[in-house]
Amino acid sequence: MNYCPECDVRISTGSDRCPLCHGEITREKDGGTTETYPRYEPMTRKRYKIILAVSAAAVFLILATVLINILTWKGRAWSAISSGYILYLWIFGLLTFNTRIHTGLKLVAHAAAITALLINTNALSGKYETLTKVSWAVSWGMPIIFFCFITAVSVIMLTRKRGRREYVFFQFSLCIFGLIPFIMVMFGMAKPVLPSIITAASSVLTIIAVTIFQRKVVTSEFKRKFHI
Amino acid sequence: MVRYAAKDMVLLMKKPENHEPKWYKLDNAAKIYPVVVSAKDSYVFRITANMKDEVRPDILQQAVNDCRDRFPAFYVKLRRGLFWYYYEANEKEPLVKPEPAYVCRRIDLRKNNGFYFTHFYYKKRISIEIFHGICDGAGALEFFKTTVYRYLELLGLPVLPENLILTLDQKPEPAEAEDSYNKYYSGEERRKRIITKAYKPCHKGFLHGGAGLIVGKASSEKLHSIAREKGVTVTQYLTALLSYCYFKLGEKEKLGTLPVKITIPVNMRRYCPSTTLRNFSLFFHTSVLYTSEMTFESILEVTKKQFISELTDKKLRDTLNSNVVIEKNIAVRFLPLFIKKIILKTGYKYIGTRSSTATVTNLGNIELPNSMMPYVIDFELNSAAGKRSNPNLSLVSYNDITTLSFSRGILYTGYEKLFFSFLAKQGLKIEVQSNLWEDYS
Repeated sequence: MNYCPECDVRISTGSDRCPLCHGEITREKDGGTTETYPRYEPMTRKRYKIILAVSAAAVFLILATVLINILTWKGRAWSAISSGYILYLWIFGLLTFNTRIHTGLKLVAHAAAITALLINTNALSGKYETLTKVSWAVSWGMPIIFFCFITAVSVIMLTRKRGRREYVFFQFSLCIFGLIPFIMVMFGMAKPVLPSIITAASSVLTIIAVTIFQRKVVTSEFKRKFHI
Repeated sequence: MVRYAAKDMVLLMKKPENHEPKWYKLDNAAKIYPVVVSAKDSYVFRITANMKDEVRPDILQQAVNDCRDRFPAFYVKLRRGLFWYYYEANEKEPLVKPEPAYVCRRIDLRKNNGFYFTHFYYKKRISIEIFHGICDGAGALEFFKTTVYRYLELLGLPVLPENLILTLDQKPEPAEAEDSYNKYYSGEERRKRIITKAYKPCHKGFLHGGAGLIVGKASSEKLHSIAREKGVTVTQYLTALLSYCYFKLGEKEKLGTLPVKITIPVNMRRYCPSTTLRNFSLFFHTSVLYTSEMTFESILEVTKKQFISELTDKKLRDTLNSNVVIEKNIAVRFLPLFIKKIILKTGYKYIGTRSSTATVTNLGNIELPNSMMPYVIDFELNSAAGKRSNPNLSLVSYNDITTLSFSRGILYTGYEKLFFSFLAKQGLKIEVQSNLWEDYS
C-alpha cells in the first residue's frame, strides 16, 4: 500500500499520485495496490447521434418545403400537408424506436396521429368550402385505421402469453375511439355509413368479448389504471 | 456447477400460488422519483460487499433469481396509471452484469429487462444499484444481505441466518411491502415548510459526466471514540466536518449570505416501528451561516443542537404528516398524471435541488451472521452524483470498518482532501481508494 505524506493517508488504489491532493506518493515496501474500480471506457453515443441526425433532417425538410411553398405560392398551403407527414415520421419514429413507452400506448398514439394527418390532408387538399366536411378522412380513413389498430391489438392480446393484460386498457381506448366515426356519420358529417358501422360494431363486440372472457383482468387492470 | 440442497430444490420447484401479477401503489416518498429522474439525476444508490474470494457470476445470477419470491416488491416494473404511477410484478429475469465504470447511472430499463435494480460483479465485489423509487437504504440492505447470503449458500458454504437475514424459506410479510408513511399518518399537526436557498460552490464538472468516487476506510471504534471525545455522535461529527470543509474552501462573500445546509436522511423505522422494505425515511437539514470567528468546534456545537432539535418524535411525525397530506389532497389525487409530472418537475427543479449544499447518509452498522463474516470483508455505500454535484458523503460500518464514501460530479477534490486530512490529524488511520474519475476528464 502507498502513502501520501501531504494528506497523511494510505492509498490502496493503483496510481502514481494521491487521489486527494494529486501529489507525489511514497511507495511502501509491501506495495500492494489494486485496481479497485473498473477502468473507464468512453460511452458510445451512437443512438444520440442518430436522433440528432434524424431531427436535423426533419427540420431541414420542413423548412425546405415551407420555403418552396412560399416561393411558388399558388394560393394553397400544400407544405402544411407535407410538413405534417414529416413531423409524424420524425416525432413518432423517435417515439416508437427511442422510448420505452408501452407498445399499447404507442399504438393508440399512432392511431390518433394518423387520423389527425388524414383529416389535415383532407381538409387542406379539398376546396376550402369543404373544410367543415372532412368527408373521406372521417367516413373511410378513421374507420379503417381504428379497425386495423383494434385488430392489431386483439392479435397481440391473443398471441401473447405474458403481459396480455397490459393491453386491455389500450384496447378499450381504441374501441372508444372506434365509435367516433360512427357518431360523426350520425351527425351527418360524412358519408358513406358502412365503414363506420363495421368499425363501431367491431369496437362494441371487442369490448363485450374482452369484458366477458377477461372480466377479472379488466376489473383489476382498471383498478390499477384509475387508482387514486 | 450450481449445487442445490434438497430444500433449495423444493423452493425452486414451488410454483407461484397466484398467477395474477401483484401490483403496488408507490409509497409517499417514491411518488416523486419517477417524475424527477433524468440522465443528470439518477436517484440510484449502490451498496457493495467486498468478498473474500472472486465472485462467480453464474452463482450470483442464480441467487438473484432465487430471491424473487421472497422480495416481490423489488421484482417490479413501473407502469403508468391515469392519476399515479404504480409498480407491477415483472416476470422477466433480472440481469447480473459486470460492474460498469460509471457509478449509479440512471438505470436503462431497456437493457435491464424493466427492473429498477441491477446486481454487478467485479473481481471480489458484489454490488447492487437500486432506484430510490423502490426502496431506501435500509430496505435495499435487507434485500442485498439476502442475495449475498443466498450466493454463499449456493456456493455450498456453511452459512446460517442467525435471525439476521430474511431467508428464502420465509414467506414475505405484507408489512414488508406496506407504505409506512400512510400507516403513521395521523393528519394532526403538520410542519410548516420554510425552503431557503443553500450555499452551492461552483466547480468544473466532468467532461463525460459520471461520478468521481473517493472512499476512505477507517476503524469504527476509533472514529466513535473521536466523536465521543467531543460529546457527539459519528454522524453529527462528520456532518459538522463536511460543513467545516465547505466553509474553509468556500467563497466567503457567498457564504456570508447563504448557509451551508447539509441534508440528513433519517431512517423512520427507528421512530415508528415498521418492517417495511420500501421507502420509510425522511430528511432534515442542518444549516450553518458563516462568521469570521467560526471554528470546527463552533460548527459542531450548532450541528449537535440542530440534530437534537430535529430528531424528536414529534417533529418527525409532523414532517411525515405534512408530506402525506399533499398526497391525500383530493385535488392532487384527481389531477391527471401528466399534469402532476409538470408541476412536480418544475417544483423540484426550482426548490428541491437548491435547498441543500450536500448530503450525509449514514446507513449504520451492518450486522451479519457470524457464519457469513469470514466471507464478507467490508461494505460500501455510494450515492449518485448529479451533474456538477458537490461531494456527498455516504457511510456504512461493518466489522469495525467504517467506509466513508464521497461521490461527486466535479473535478475538484479539495473537500475530500481536507476532510480526510482533518480526520487523520485526529489520529485516525485512513486507507483511501478512488475511481480516479478526474483522470478521464
